Amino acid sequence: MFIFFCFLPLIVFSLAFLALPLVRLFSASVEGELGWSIYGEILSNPRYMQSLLDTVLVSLAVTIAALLVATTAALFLTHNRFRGRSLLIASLTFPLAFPGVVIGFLMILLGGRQGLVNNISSNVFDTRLVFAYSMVGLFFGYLYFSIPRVLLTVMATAEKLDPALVEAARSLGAAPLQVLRDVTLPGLAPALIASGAIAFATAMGAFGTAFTLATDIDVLPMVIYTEFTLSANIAMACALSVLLGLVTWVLLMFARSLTGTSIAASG
Amino acid sequence: MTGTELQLLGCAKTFGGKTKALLPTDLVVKPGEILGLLGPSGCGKTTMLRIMAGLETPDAGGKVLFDDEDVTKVPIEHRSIGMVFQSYALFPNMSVRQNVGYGLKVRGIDGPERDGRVDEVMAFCRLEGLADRAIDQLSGGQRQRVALARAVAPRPRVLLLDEPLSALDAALRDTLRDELAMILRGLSMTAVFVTHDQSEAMAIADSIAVMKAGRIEQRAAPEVLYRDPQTDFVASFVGGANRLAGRFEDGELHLDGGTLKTGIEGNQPDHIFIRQEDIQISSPDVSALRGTVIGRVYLGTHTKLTIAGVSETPLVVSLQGATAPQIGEIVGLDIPATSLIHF
Repeated sequence: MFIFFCFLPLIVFSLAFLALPLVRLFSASVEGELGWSIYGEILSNPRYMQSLLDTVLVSLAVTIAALLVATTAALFLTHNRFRGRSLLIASLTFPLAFPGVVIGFLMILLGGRQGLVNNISSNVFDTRLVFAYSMVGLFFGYLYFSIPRVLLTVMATAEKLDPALVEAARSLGAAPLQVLRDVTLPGLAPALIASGAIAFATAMGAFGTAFTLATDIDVLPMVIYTEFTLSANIAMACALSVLLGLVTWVLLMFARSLTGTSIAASG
Repeated sequence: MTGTELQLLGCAKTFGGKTKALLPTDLVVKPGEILGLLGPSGCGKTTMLRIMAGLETPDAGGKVLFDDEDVTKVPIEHRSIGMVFQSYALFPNMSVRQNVGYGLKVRGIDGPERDGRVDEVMAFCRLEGLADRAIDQLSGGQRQRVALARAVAPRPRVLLLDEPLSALDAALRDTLRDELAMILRGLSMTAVFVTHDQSEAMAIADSIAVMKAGRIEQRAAPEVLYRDPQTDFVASFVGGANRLAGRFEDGELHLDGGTLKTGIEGNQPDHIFIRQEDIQISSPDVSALRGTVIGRVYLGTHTKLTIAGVSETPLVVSLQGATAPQIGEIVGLDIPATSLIHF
């Protein structure tokens, strides 16, 4: 009985915030004119499929880039003590507080038509360089808010790694890259998987940045928004949302099982 | 003896510009010798080991030599040393076999040659049948032997061990200490190990360097260190000897608990040492020294008594035989002048 009461909050949470909305979302998606064939309609619509593919690709690229940049930075920050280090770490986590809209602004200020990069390249090299309103702008915007998430998780794990592990590998003759491959990265693997999953899922569902940069971008959350507000096609918006959630979930499961087996195989 | 001669010449280490972890030290470890670095925490023994390993560089002027080769500036990965860490630092993502073979793998030794060497070393360290185990499936003693096997598999010139037994349960430590001593002897490799436990140092080492506050107090074979300590610190730290402090007069030491005939002539110290097992308990009526038993621990082979009222600090007496006095009893102490240690 006591155990039941301990589980109660979890059950309530799962039902109210997880199961119920999802069930409702799914049922709303098949209540339109098309019924169940709405999913067939999505699969045969090149615009939807292209936008799904673009979303997955930009999210993957952001995840990989964020893991690379943040892991390098995290390892440096873990192994080096210098003046202003805590201030730097605090400011690196700054973007966490920004909504997507602000990050969109930042990208426009940086890579927009009146942006910093364009100003410099126009004046110095006499070429226009505008990337804010494209997938490239979106990539940098997402990267900007993904890095702090990965960085914090990886740093927390890196600080707990036994420094003797690295020393042991070196004492056995391992060069720095071998130490990284055989000792450091396997030690960080759980953190890399967890933070990579968060970065990927966040990028898949990010909306504010895409909305601000809008013009040439057709990521799935934008398509859902358009279907919902402009076309008032609620069933389609719901079906696309289900698809977005499902694809993200399947890809994360796949990544998890892939890394899981590779860790098991080396262990 | 085979192996490499290890030499430190004027090696000192200062951390952060002021903390002197190690004062300038010279040390020679002969080929095949097993040297124990013994001392309390913070005495500089681990720093010295890390300088030998190449994990720390000595202050300017210090030199580390392997045979005649100056390796001071050679980083650890090119120094060809084997190291056993206090935490063992086994790679958790690799099996026992992969751990032991890692040093060979990074040297590009593959296939049957690597397998053969790994099997040989694992047999020597009594790890047969454990090759495919994961690290977290091993007992403490097995982990220690894997760490040792991993360190010696690439045939290093010098083997360095940092507190190799301190991560183990007290109950296991004695057995594994003797086992480690046997394996190290069988390797006939120049080895240096760090410990804060004098019985560990005595059981394993050919020669012990007792360290205190960044310098070597005395370097000698275990029996010499025990029978003939050269400093106060060595006498009390290695032998657990009792310090008797009082007023000297005509060869007699006047203590709180009576007078002790020392037979010392000429230069008279203000304190002397006596080992725990060299004190005999007798009747308080006939003895010139008396004290009160305040502690009594029965340990099977002997009984440890703590006796107050003799000198400034309570005396510890290790008594053989079954009939030891009880707590609160007043006892006499016989201390033969020939057993006294003084400098």
